[in-house]
Amino acid sequence: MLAFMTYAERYYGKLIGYFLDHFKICMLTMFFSILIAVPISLMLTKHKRLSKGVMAVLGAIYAIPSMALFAMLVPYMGLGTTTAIFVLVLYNQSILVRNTVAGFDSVDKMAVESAVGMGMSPWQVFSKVRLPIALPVILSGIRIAMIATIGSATIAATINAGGIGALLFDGLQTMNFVKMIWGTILAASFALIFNMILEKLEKRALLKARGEYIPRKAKNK
Amino acid sequence: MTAVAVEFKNVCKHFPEAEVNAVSHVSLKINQGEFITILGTSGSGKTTLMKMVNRLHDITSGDIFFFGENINSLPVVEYRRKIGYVVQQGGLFPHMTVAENIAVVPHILKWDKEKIDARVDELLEMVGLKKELYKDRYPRQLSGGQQQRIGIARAMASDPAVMLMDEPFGAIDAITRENLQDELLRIQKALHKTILFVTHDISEAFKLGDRVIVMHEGKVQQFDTPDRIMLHPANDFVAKFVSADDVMKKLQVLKVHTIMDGLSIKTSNQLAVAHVDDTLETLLKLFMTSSTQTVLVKDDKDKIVGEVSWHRLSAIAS
Amino acid sequence: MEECGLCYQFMKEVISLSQKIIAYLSANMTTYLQAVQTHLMISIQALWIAVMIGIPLGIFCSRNEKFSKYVTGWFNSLRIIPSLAILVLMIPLMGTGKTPALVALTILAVPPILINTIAGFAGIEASLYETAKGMGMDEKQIFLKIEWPLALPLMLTGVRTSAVEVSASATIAAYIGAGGLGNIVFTGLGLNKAELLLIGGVSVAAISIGAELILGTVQNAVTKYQRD
Repeated sequence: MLAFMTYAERYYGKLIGYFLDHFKICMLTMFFSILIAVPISLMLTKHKRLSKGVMAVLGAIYAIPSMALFAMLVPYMGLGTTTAIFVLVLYNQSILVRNTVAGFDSVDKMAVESAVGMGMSPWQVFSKVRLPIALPVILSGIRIAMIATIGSATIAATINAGGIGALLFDGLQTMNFVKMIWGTILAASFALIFNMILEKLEKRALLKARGEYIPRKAKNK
Repeated sequence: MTAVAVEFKNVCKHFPEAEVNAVSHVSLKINQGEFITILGTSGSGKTTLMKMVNRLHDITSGDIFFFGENINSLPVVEYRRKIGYVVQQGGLFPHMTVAENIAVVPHILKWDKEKIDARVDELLEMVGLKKELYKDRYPRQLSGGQQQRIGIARAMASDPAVMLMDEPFGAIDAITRENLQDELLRIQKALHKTILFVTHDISEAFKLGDRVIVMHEGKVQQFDTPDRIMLHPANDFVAKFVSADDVMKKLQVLKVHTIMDGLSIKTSNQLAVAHVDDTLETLLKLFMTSSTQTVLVKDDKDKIVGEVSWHRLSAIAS
Repeated sequence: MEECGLCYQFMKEVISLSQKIIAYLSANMTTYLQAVQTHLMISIQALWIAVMIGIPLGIFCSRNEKFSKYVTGWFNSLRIIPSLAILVLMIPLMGTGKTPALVALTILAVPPILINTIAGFAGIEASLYETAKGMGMDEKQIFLKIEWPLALPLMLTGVRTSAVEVSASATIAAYIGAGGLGNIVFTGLGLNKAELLLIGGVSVAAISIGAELILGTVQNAVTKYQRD
């Protein structure tokens, strides 16, 4: 217990460093994942016929364990953060695309039709009607993808991507219990915190989509 | 004298945490072979009353007798197998095919396979569905009306003497509902089942029921034939509920035999003929299209049994 | 000309890598097969134990709403924690070896099965239960003929998720002494041997996809009634 606290005292800078590294990998991964997933999803909502094939391919990739993909890609892409992020982005596509497509599919056709009928421009129809209604399901996808990314990113330490996983593997290799436990605590709290934040956003979007959201200001009155 | 199939003796039902009785002090007798409809708004206690018969709800006080036996003295599971049960949308089990659904009770009763197969075929034919086409389908592959037909077939599988039907046609479009009602009447006439049928639809209750139980606030307001309820409502609630002072409603609900007189004129081919069970609305149309002063009335066997004059019909309005 | 040079280079690499793979496999066939067997055994054991825990517990929870809320919340959190963290935590608690690895993998496999079992049983419409009762089925018949088959598709979804999760995590479990294909992958990483990485990676992927396909087929068979 003492050793446990002393370690934190002595190396708190290092612990924060692991945490921030992990944060960086996850954020970059999510940024690129969403950047790619949104256009794919929009294309699939328009071209339903493509959807089955694309989803099957993405699903098959998702079924491959991250460790296996890392192992298979290292000979070609080398060790390091880039390979890790590439794999993680690839993974997330299945989750993100499925939820985004489901989100847009859940939008009532009549709502879109009346929006068009009221004279909204295509962009307005998208941003004011389709997106807000689809948002809860899309955010749910983002949350699940984020959790998966946080988990797989720890494993990415095996290919020298850094982050909390590095602390865990370091502990494993030197049989250092203090490092192992700190690594576990960091990884678990990282995941739980992000899950909580994203769940809050998701809930808010859901209330908005259902027309049940009450802004703070109005609540206080 | 016909046997009493179901008898309620001072039956009450009180749900925990409810302020008033869901069903209070109901006493009535239902004869074997009768088609009884239970009519009421939601919360009137009509469904509770019915579900006490197959003990899905336990009685708080009083007794229910099933062919003279107190139902609380019978082993509950075996007792339920003697009663057919149909719910809204048919309540079909989604993971079983049509044939498997129909065979549920025969299967529990351990009939042998050939007997079950034959029974399934027979029942499908009875409810007007081709066995080759429907036997192996799953419920979600059927329309609402078809599902309901299967629901009825399933309830009749073990040939129960009594059938309980809980708003079976509630979620079905008007035209299909009419067809199903006619079908059910035809089946009941042929098989003489005792049926308790819960509904909130006045026309349905009056069309199907030999007698109608009107429920309100857990009490039986009136238990009588449709004609008597319409012409002599027991209290203000019943009068208002069935719109007894509405001429159009009367025409829709009352049947020809209520105002039929004995034959006084010589039958002639030129006169229009109505059926004893036609509604007065149909009769009115007949008068208007045939421009006669008298319409003849025939029974099920096409025998002329009486007549109705224009004067007699118009008296209904006053 | 330059393109051809690149092509040539690439082909040469592929051929040399293939030769290395063949060389490794012919020299270490027994080791490889043993690794596959260990990997499969520990995955199947963990999955089996998780099913034996998750399904009865799930059925129990689906009948106790209060308890169910508590358990679902708890196991949902467990699901969010990175699997590596759970595996590593086993060492201070139980040391290294097959048993801690099996325990960790079981812990990872229980939540999807449990949560889906609860959802499967709780999702059955109350009216179906009442209809079955009204028709004269006893509790046992209702369970066997109505509840179990209706909950089965979701239970299988849970088993399928767990199977993929376990066969993946079993690779990493090599670090805490589970053995199996993870050993080959980690040796490859340590010695920077591409052939080991490929052999290990492809085998793990094949097991995961195989599990997914097999359970997917089973699931298709039991959800026939949900399709038109």
